[in-house]
Amino acid sequence: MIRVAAVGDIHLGAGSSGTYRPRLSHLADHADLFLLAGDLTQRGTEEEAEVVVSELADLPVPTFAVLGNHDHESDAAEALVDGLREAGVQVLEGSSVLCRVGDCTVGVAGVKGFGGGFPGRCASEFGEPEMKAFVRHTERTARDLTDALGSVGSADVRVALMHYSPVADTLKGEPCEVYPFLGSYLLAEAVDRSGVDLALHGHAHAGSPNGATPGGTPVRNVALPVIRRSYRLFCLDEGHLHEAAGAGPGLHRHQ
Amino acid sequence: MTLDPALPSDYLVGHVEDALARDPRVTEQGLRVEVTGIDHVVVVVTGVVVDPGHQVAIAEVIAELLPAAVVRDETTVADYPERDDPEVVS
Repeated sequence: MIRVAAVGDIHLGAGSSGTYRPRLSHLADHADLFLLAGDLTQRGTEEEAEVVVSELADLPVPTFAVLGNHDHESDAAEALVDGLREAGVQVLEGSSVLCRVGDCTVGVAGVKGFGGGFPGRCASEFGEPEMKAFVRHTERTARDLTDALGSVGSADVRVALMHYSPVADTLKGEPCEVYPFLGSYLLAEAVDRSGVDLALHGHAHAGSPNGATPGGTPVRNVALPVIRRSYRLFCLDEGHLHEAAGAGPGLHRHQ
Repeated sequence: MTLDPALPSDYLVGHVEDALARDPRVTEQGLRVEVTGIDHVVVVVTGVVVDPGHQVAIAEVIAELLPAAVVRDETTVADYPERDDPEVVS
């Protein structure tokens, strides 16, 4: 049995110092792994990166993250990634890790992901160079996710960690006009192709918590405004997902 | 490139729509695709194309992606009359 705690979109700002870490005070009691689904910062500045690193440093369980779109806003993502690494948090981007928890091995593969939409309303690689670049970025990140998942193919349990959504299910509540900017079905296809036990994402603050890929993989939107608590807990037992109602100090909102 | 017809239909829809938008023989952006069928894949395409030749190409492109699929092309060719009653803008 592997216990995973996950949250996305914590959006720490320059003034958030000292406010987030207390929310994780019981993390080790609840979880074996802690996963962060991107948008750790509000504007991705180096000042905010320092706050994030300070708040997440030396957590008591292995912690892995992907970045989100906010974390790229100030072109300082490298400083955030480096700082987190030194603080014991590994940022995944087209990469994966294999952890041992008791008798089980868990593989976590992560990408930021990107938009493009879902069947019936998809962007295509056609027209202006800017449009082609948009779609190619999504296609590349989906390929990266496939490769990263393949490299942990031997794990007993596999988790795909993204910022953007692989399915429309977990976007319900968002205006349908913005779905193409919230995720892509190409991410779901990568998940289904690879035999994943749980897919996690954030980004859709007004979305819904639960969904599934067309192949049946559970998808969970762990954006903080959706789960409305410090993190959501999942127990994975040889491919079977058991979900706790929640954990951590209750409602915790950031914008 | 061919698609695995055993893929969930959502993925087949996405890839066929993408091919019809990108393939230089078609390049139609607004077509809707539905994939049905139990024993074999049936691809239904609806929408408006700008050229009758595109309807021929739709069947070709889908046949290349899903060689065993049955294609039901329900598209129509755009045929717009020249407007002869001007709108009065006041």
